[in-house]
Amino acid sequence: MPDFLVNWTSERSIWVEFPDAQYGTRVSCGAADLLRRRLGEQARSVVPAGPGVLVELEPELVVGNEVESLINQTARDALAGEDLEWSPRDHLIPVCYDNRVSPDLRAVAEACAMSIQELIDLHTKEVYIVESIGFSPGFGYLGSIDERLQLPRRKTPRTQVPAGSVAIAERFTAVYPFQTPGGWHLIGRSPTALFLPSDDSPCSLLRVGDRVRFHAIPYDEYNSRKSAE
Amino acid sequence: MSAVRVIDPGMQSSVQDLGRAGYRQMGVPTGGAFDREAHLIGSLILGNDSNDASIEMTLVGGMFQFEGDACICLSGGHAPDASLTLGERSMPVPHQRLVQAASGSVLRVGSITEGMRTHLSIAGGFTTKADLGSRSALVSTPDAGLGRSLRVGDVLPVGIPGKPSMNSIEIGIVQRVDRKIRIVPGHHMGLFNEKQIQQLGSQEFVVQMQSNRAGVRLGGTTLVGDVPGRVASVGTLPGYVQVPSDGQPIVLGVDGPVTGGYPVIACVIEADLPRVAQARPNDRLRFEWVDRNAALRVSQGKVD
Repeated sequence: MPDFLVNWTSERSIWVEFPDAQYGTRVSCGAADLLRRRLGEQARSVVPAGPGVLVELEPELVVGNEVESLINQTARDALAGEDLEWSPRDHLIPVCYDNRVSPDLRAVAEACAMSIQELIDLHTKEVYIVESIGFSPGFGYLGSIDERLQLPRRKTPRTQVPAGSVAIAERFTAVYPFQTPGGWHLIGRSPTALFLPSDDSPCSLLRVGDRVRFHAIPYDEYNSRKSAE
Repeated sequence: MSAVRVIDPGMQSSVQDLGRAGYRQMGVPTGGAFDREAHLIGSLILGNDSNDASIEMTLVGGMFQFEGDACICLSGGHAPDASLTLGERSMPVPHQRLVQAASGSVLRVGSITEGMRTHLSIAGGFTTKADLGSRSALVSTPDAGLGRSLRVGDVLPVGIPGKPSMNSIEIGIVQRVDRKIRIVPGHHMGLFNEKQIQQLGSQEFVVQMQSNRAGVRLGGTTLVGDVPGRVASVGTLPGYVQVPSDGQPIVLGVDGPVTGGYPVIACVIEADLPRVAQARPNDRLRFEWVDRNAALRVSQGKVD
């Protein structure tokens, strides 16, 4: 297995993959940051996701093999840890695990054959990594949850999941930034805003590679923090 | 200051420009006019900057009243019944031509009979609030604070007009969908078998009703045999052709997700995205595999 792969995925995009690296850690996030700096206007977007980084190129500026060579060199440097400025941020996100705002809490505990308290303990003990961001603005796929909590998605997705819902599915957990449709199991609710476009930087609380922990707050605290927003 | 009042938004209308660059890594699609070409034609005719905002309408156009004299242009999908009314007088609004609209006059766009999306451009552009560097509305997520679909009673401010550069453009009315849509090999093409790859490039697909700016869903043909299941999440782009487990492809649109876990068999070349944007429910689409370098030359405008 090579240390990295560079493949064209359309006439205007290149995917760089690091098969041996852990998702959302220094190699791919550092590479994304380095690619953004080095490619400048040649890249319309640089998106780290899962095992790699997608570079969307400006077709006008693709001349010969120059871009591909630069991307290869950059991937090599990222692997060697050269010129990396990227570092992750840590977030502690409050979550209210209460039946009044967590419609699937009881069912998930039952399906996982544990008490609600055990479920909360398992969900809050782990430090998760933002492996990718997608689905909606600011929606981070946080991996991995404890194997004992891993369930398939719901058979029928909900047409409306409330904003702030804390959910699990397969090996991921996430906080829904907005009211959207959704097929995950809703085990809690957070008062924290995940995406604020008025705030140009950072605008998204989470970035790929960030580390996230949840901590439980009581229903009353959730309500007061929610209304204080 | 001039403005335009929305009397009726039509089926779904929203303000769009060339989209929002630089936020895909935060989950924000680029967005902007799905049919970039239609938007640019309007800008060109009216002497606007290419990024000045226009209104993108879908299948059934809206009704708008002008507060202040304006120069306008309809482009993209063809709305043959479009008319401009002031008091008793009414005149047709021809396609892709500069039309002067007096203050108080009402534009009725009516049904879009050819193509799917018609743009209303105005000299000076719509100067609604820009969020994260763009006026484009992310209509799928109205709570995100990145714009929303137009509603009855909305009043859209208009910028200072530039100098119109030409009165009309004599080119084909709509990017016709009867020409094949060119595709290049996608991220996971290697996971599909020869037969499936060949099927995508030879059979006819039918555009489904559930299509929108996020994705154009195809039916009519199902890729034969087992299709690969979910894959590790990868970055995705407009034009990516995803194949979910039912074997019926989805072409991602300008508001499509920025990452995804469905295998991607192909990607529509950038120059042919306007044709995807103009595909109507029940339209029949055919794809044609082309070489990546040939596609790049087309995207660079060196060949058609």
